[in-house]
Parts: sequence; C-alpha cells; structure tokens
Amino acid sequence: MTPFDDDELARALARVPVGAYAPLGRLQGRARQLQVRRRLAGTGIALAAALAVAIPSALAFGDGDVFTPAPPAGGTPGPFPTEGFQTECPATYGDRLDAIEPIETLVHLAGPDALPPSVRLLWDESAAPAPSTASGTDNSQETDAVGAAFAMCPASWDQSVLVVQSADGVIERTVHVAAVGDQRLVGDERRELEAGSTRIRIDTEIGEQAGLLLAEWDDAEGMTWRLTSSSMSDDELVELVQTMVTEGDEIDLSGWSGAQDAEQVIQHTGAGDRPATYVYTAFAEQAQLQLTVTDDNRTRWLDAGAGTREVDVAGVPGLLSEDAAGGWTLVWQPDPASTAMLNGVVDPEELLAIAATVGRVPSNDQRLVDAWTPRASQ
Amino acid sequence: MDEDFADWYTALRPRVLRAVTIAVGDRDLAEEATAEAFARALARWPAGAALDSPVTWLLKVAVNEVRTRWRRGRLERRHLQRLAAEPERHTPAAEPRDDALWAAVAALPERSRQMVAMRYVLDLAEHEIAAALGVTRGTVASTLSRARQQLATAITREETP
Repeated sequence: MTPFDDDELARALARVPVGAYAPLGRLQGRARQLQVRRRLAGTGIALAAALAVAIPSALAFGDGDVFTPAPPAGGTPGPFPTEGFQTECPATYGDRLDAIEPIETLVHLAGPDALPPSVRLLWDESAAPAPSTASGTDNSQETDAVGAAFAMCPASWDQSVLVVQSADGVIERTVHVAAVGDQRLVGDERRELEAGSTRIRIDTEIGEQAGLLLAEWDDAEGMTWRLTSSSMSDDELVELVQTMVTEGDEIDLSGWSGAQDAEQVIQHTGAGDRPATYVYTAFAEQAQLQLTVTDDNRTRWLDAGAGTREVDVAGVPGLLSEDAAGGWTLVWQPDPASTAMLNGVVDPEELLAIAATVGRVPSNDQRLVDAWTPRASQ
Repeated sequence: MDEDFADWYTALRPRVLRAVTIAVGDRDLAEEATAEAFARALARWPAGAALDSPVTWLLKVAVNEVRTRWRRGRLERRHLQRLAAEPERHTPAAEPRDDALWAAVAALPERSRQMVAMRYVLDLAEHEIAAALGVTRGTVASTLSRARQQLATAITREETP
C-alpha cells in the first residue's frame, strides 16, 4: 500500500463534505452572552471592594450608617464574592474549565497500582466471578490546571440543592436545582413557561427520553439555573422558580410548597463541583456485573429517583434502584472518600450480598492485574 | 468593529470549519464547536485579529469545546440515566458513514485527526504543528505518516470494486 502524497491527501480532504456556517447574528448573540458573564465577574469585584471599604469605615465612625447589602430577590443569586485583581472569576467549576485554553488532562492509568487504595475496591472472589476488564483514569491534572489558572479567585461555588421526598424508605420524588453558569443542556427541542418575567425552558428531548423533567432558566444576574426532577407539574415548576431565594452560596426552597414535606434537603450536592479525580471500573462480563468507584464528593442521593429504595450495605446506607434493562443499581459510600456503584442483571438481594463483600484490594490483586486494560490516551 | 469581524469570519470560516470537522470526526459537533470558537473570538474582539495564527487558535478552542462538551455530556447523561434508573453500559456508538475516507478520518485517534487537519487543511508545517500541540516534530512526523497509511488504505478500498 502506497501512502498518499501530501497534495493528494489535501485534495481528498478538501472534498469531504462539511456542515453549515453559523449565521453571524448567532455568533453575535453568543458573544454578548460571554461578555455579560465577564462583566458580572467584574461586578463581583466592585461589590467586594465596596464592602471592604464601607464596613471598616462604618465601624471607625460609629454613626450607625452601616452599608447593608440588599437581601437577594427570589431566584436571584447573591453576587459571587470575588476579591483580588484577577479580571475573570467565573462562579462555577464548569465555566472555569471552559475559560482555560485547550488542555488535555485525562490520563488512563497503566495499572491498578496507580489507583488510590480508597478507590481500588473489588468484590470478594467467592461472591462473583473475576472481572473480565478493568480500567481507571486520573483527571487530577484538570483540577490542578483550573486551580492554577484561577489561583487569585475564591473557590468556585457549588450552588446546588436536592429535595428528596420519600415514604417508608422508598423515594417518591427528587428535585435537584443547581447554578450551571454557561453550561446549558436544553437545546432547540423544548417548550417554554413563564414565571413572571422569567422564561423557563423545558427540554423535550433528552429529559423526556430519560423520563425526567429537565428545565433551565436565566436569572437577572445572567446565571443559568438547571432543575432536574423525576416528576413535577408546570404549576409546581413556576412556583419553585418564583419562590426560590439564594443566601450566599445556598439555595433556599423553603418558600416552595413542594419542599414542605421533604424528607431531606441537601445543600452543595457536589453536582457543580469538580468531577472525580479517579474513576475506576471493573466489569465481569460473565455475570454482567459492573463496579464503578469514584472519589468525587457528589452526594449519593443524586443517584436516587422515584422508586429508589434505601437499603443497608454492610452497615452503610445505600440506594437501590431498578433499571429499565431489568437490572439493579446500588450506590453507597464504603469510605468517606469514595462512592461505589454496583450494577448487575441479578436479583437485588444477590446484588446486595455481592456489595457487602466489596472492599479494598491490594495493587497486585491478581484478578485486577489480569483484567486491567490500559487504554491509549485520547 | 462588527464589520471587521464579519470580514474576518467570512475569510476564515471555510478553512476552520473543514479543519474542525476533520479534527473532531463529527460534522454536527464541528458545526457547533466552530461557531462557539468564533463567538469566543468575537467576545474578545479585536484581540482575535491580532493573533499570530488565528486559525490554529480557533481550531484548538473548537477541539477543546468538543472535548469538554463530550465529557460533560457524558457525565450529564450518566446522571440522567442513573436518575431514570437506566445504567450506562458500554455504549460508544460511532455514526455510520458511507464515505470511506470520511469513515477512515473519523476512525483515526483524536490526536492524529488534529494533526491531519492542521497539516492538510490549515497547511501548517510540521514544526508549527509541534509547537501548537506541545509535542516534538518527530512525533508529528510519525503520527502523520501512520495517518496517511491508514487513509490510503481506506481510499484504496473505496476505489476497489
């Protein structure tokens, strides 16, 4: 086989069909959006500076005319507290990642010895067959790069809240609300609702496919908010948007009637925080059993949906959900530093029994060493 | 200012869209990512016009956009699937392509596609590609050589009845 010469390949590639050009108006709209985000970051700096001056001055003169920030209005976040001299401090981790120039950070681990012990878990060999494949990734370079790029900024906010409604240990509904910056999911396939002056965009594609309500809206500060729920009426959604209040980096849903009977209201769910540094998966093809362990700090309740059951996994609380393919998924935290998810097409009691044997294994565990499949970096 | 940008956009977009399409191996994603890269340039205008190699910058921003979207999209889908109690199982599905060359391009590793786009669409020299991607010139040469071989195989198959 004779490889192409350069001209021949250039001509061949010039014939490959490509898509359409974006209209200029669309680029201008998106550019304005990006500029607004930057200006808002600047506003944060101005307010922080005003506070720094106003509060000591009031204390010094003692005249009682203390500068008091106005309480945030419903649905409007307090400004992200930006100090220092950096001109751009996006509030969310996702927007910070986007702001960095192209970076390539994901590392596929060469062997199980590269995993931290808290993540290197496996079921006991008496409980299930050995894994047929196993692999892991290390994304610490991404976190480091984002941290270095925004070293002059305060830590990014994980402004998110999860409302869990349950009865007798079975989850009836979950509602998750999070500030997502520029990270929008709702596209053209959508319908819209009005909540006062706020337009709520409801996804009619991926959300509905997953049997979920997925909605987004923008507040007056330019922040995009995302709501995901296992079920919610339009009236409930509008009420939530109109009554939601933010206090610093917390979201107060106490004014929403749907939260009145909530079993749990969890702030800072981890959904908007950094992703996992380590992700490790072991898969036993013969048993269709998959174990995934991460070291992120997302609450396990994010994995609950309608019908999810609260269970006990060897003394640790877990969440057991049936999936559409006839299998079961169990999520629990065997260690404060790790979250495990075990999925299999097996009886739920059997899955629980297997999960109860999951524990740390040494880096030279023969089952893991034999199954390990390091992939070439993308 | 916008008129300057409009001229700049009109002049660069054919090469950039083609380069991004080759680099990411997906026409729809390339459309979106190219638009995002130009929008970012406009948001910082006129700084974009002063770049030494604006097409290289646009390509890198677009490729990064695709990578970020793919990673975030995967995480979001995983989360939605978990909420819907439908676990993610081994599902990397490539789009079927009729055209053999296109299929071969899409099947190249990401780094190879990016180098092919830089070399044969943007017409950058090997040392310029090496500098842009932070690799050695030897790596660029060997990667391009392998890519040419793979693409030639695809074209031969296409032309053989």
